[in-house]
Amino acid sequence: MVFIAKTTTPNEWKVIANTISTVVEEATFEATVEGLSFRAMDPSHVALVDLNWPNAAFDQYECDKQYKLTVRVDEFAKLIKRAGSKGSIEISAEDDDYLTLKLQNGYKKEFKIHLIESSSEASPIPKLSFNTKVTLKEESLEDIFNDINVLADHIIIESTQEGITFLGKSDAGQASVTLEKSSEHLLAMEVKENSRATYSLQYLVNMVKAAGAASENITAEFSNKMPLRLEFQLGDSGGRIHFYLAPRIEER
Amino acid sequence: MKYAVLADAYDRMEHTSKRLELTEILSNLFRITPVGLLARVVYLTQGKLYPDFYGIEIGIADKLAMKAILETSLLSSKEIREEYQRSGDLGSAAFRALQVKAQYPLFSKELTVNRVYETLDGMAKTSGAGAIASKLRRMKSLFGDAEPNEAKYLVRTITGKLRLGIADYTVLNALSQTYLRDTTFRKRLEVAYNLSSDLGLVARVVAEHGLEGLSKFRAKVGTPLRPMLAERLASATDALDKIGGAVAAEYKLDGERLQIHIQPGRLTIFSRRLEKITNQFPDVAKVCRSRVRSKKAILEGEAVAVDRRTGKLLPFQELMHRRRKYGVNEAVERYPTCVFLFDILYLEGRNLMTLPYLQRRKTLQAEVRENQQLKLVDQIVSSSPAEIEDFLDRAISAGSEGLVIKDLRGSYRAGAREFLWIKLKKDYRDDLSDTLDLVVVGAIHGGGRRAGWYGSFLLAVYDQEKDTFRSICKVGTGFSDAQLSSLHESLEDIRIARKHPRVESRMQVDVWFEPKVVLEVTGSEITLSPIHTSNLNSIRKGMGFALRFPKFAGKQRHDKRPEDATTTLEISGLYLSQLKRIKS
Repeated sequence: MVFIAKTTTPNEWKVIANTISTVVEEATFEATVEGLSFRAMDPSHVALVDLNWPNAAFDQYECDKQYKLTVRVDEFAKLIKRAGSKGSIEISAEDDDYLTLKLQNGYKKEFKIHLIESSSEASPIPKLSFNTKVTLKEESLEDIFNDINVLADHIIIESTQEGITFLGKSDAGQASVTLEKSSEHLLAMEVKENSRATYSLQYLVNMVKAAGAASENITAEFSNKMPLRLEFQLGDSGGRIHFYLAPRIEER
Repeated sequence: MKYAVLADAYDRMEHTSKRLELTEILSNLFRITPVGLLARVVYLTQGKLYPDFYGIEIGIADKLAMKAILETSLLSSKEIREEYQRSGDLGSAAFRALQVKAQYPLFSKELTVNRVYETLDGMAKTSGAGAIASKLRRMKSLFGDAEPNEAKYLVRTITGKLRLGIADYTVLNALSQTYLRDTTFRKRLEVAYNLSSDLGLVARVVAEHGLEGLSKFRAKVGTPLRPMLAERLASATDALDKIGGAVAAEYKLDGERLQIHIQPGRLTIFSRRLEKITNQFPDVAKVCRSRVRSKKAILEGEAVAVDRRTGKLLPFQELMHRRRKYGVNEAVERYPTCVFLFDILYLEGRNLMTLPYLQRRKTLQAEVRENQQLKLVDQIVSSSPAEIEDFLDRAISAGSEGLVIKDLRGSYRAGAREFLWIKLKKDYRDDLSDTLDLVVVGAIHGGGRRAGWYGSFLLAVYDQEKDTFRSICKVGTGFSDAQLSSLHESLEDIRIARKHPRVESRMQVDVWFEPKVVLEVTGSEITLSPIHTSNLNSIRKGMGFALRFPKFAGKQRHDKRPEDATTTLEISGLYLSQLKRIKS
């Protein structure tokens, strides 16, 4: 078995470990000749993370055929944290039993963790067409979500030709953030059809914090009462994370 | 198989109170269950995931289940809590709450029996940091896909309140009805169950291989057998008449019955109720390893607390100090025990249960090198009533409860209560002739078949002088299912958050009540107790009185106020007359 994936910085792996731990307790990576991928739904089937990390994005990448590598996410994340802020990470597997992590930043650290039997089946990708697509700076979206989260647990996103509005309400009060089409914070906007949908903020806040850490911009796509998709860049490596979130039911 | 099928069957079970109908519904459920799922369906229907001796319970607190319901439902927390208050049943609250869900899933996935079982199993086995969050996530995953009716039974299962009233014998009856043409073969099912203590396994085997499969059940080291029980008679003459010829008479010790399973590298001790209690008896495990010759055996014996200095046997209560999770080593140090072995059921690949008792005893003798901690129980072989009565007196003065008279030719009949073994006790003759009226002051949640109900009740006598209620015993026997459920109802309204100010108790319970409900209880004698507070310090400092072998006599005394209950004065009278009886 040949599998080696090396990156010159630990940043991408940190983002991935954090992102994955928001949805699952054990993670199955799929390694192929083309690159590394991961796809999993949270147990409630409300959120789905889909990672695509092509071989060209790595400093070094070798893989002779298709492998499934399943780890306990908490263990994996702890090891990735040991990398500190700089230095290279090399992840490899020689057999079905262990995953090896080599961290290099003045020290040469080597960890081996047990690969485990995967207990879940692969998730399909929801077939969706989106009527609204907006691109914002990562900080802007994080900011907006946090604004709404002060007063609400859910966020209503509404799009029209004029712009996009984020709303939240609870017993405590109401919050809204509006971005007009001309706003400097709106890097791109395309609205084929006016759309409105409600999503759980807990998922969104956690996800933007985790997956957004290495992404300059975030693209959000959704349709009326349909799932939302956020796209994060994995630094400038060429990798990307898609995050799907099913809507909440707004009214009875 | 869809979980909805199970939920539907549960619904029908819930709406009948007739045993026969219940069995019929269960049997129909078995008929449509794929053989591979049968064991899981049996466990789930009894509100479990495994046979009791595995010691794995789902055990989710109501509060956490409520949280999962609240987070899945679109209804306001107020509405859901009101429904819960109204019905007192979290399952009904879930039924209402999950008619309107708060969240669409990306993909909805039907609940299957396997998915439910595996999710619950995962929850039961999750512990440590993050366990609560993980359990919550898993519950929400199930609730997200559950129809209201499924949610109702899921929630009841998760919180240990399924309460379908499916007793072991109901399952056996239904299995017999489903898989055996002739109900006279039901006995064979029972034998298989008594040997394996695992209804799921019995179900699968009978479904797959019928009677032939059942005939292959054998005692297995590591799997507890349902213990053989004794009938009771009042005199040696009666016992001798019943058995005929010479009998073995043995001390009936006042301790805890142990089933000791020895195998290479592992030793397991089961209680009479088939709980794993190896951890409470590290000393017993050690002495068995060193003093039992064979490496693979099943032994039975009675563990008794002994006074380290005098070697005297101590009452049962002393041994109960071992019943704890933490500080076992201290308890072992403070309350040393001796195990008195009386039977051997399995030895080095040979099943000994079919051998005559006398031969088993001889095998046991050859197998064990006795010392201060491990002995064979005192025994005589006799056909003389006078000799046995003498032996009974000796047994009593040595601190035993009485004798067990055994048929020398008798095989070991797991789970059976027959006249092959007969209990002979003094107190069957000198029983507390009158019943006591005791006040319910607390309760402990039930496990196993009584999960979701109260398993036992803390009872108290009335102290006229202080106008308080003082604990005297914990009672868990003598209740029918119907009585337990009606008692549960009467107590529901008088539940209080902490011990009632008028109650004096050193004992901790799960639930406290306002002293109000009076029960009629029988018992064998009044003994000194370091736990109970009835007549505290009246005979010896730090000691109160306890009622031994309390048993609910069948009546809730609605006609009595708690102040009309048996008083501490009456108890001390009973104790004194008891002393006189023993002396004379």
